[in-house]
Amino acid sequence: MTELATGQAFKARVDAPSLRNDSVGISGLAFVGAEARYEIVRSACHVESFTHFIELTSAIIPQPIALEQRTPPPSPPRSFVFRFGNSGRTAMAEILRQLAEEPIEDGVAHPAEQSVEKYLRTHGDQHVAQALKSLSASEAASLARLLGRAENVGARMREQVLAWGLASSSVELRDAAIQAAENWGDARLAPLLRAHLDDVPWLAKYAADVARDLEG
Amino acid sequence: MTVLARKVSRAKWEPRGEGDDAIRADAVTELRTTNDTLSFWHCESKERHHLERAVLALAAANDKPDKIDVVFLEEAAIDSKAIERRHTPGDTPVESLREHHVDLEKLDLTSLCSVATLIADACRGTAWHRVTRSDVLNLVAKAVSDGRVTLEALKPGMQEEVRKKLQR
Repeated sequence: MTELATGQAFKARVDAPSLRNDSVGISGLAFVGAEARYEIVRSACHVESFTHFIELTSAIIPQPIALEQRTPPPSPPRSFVFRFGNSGRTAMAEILRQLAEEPIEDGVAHPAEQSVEKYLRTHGDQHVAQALKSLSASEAASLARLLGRAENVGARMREQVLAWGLASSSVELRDAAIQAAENWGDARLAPLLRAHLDDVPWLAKYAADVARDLEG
Repeated sequence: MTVLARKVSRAKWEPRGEGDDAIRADAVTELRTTNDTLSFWHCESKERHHLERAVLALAAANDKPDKIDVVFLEEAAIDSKAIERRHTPGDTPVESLREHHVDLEKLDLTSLCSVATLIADACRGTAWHRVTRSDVLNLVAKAVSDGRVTLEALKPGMQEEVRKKLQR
């Protein structure tokens, strides 16, 4: 078992679509046979069930990761690779177009809110993280704020969006991720906020305030 | 000392990095003018209760109870830039606050840059305040309880959340 710290990155090739990367705090989405860059987004997570990372093609971390099978791999969701088809890409592109056309403003309804709800109803939330990671920090912050207003973002994806956002070097994106958590009102996100030590004082205070509010 | 308050998105005014004081172009998108005017709320002082009045005026007009960042500029600083201002009725459902609205007017690129610089300085100092979603809800719900604004005057999204808050 290898212990990894937040911010460490590595490349890997994945041999199965059954990766449950968010469960151990690793960002990135798996596509069979495709190499991707992964980043550790939750501090001190332990790699122990990742038999799917079979080939570390370019380890950026100093030592190789020893992979061991500690638990049986989850059964693969067969539709994983195929669900984010052309219609999903088109729908997401439309959301991003709406965001580019009109910046999202605190307290003010945005035309893309309906598009996001429709997207989530049609395509689910499992590709949201992939979409976020493909954007610039500023665009991702806008999308994260929009997601914070959506009802159909599942608990797992909320956690993933928050963890990924908090790990960003962009103040705007960290702020947006915290705001999304604040709007979701999900108490399960409070520990992530409590564990976050931001080097920007007002953002650190915001994270603490939101954690307090979520804990009720 | 009187101040003028305006809603901003604080993160957009953060410098890109250490030693880089430039104002990001994205921040300037927050200064969208109409008829060469920019909307502000007048506060008699920096005292908390005066600042809260501006926050209430802004929050009560919103579609939903998101957190709000408010920046406060000293009127004297505005005057020093020779920027004209005029009291105009504010767009808020809190009737008693409408008269506290001020437009900076006849703005041009130079004066808009001056405003942007004042806002950036305020954000990077202490002349700004973040009100969390929970505090926004408390503030608007209290205004409804005190009869300063009716629930029906709020926009649907805000109305629903405030109603829930009052029923708790």
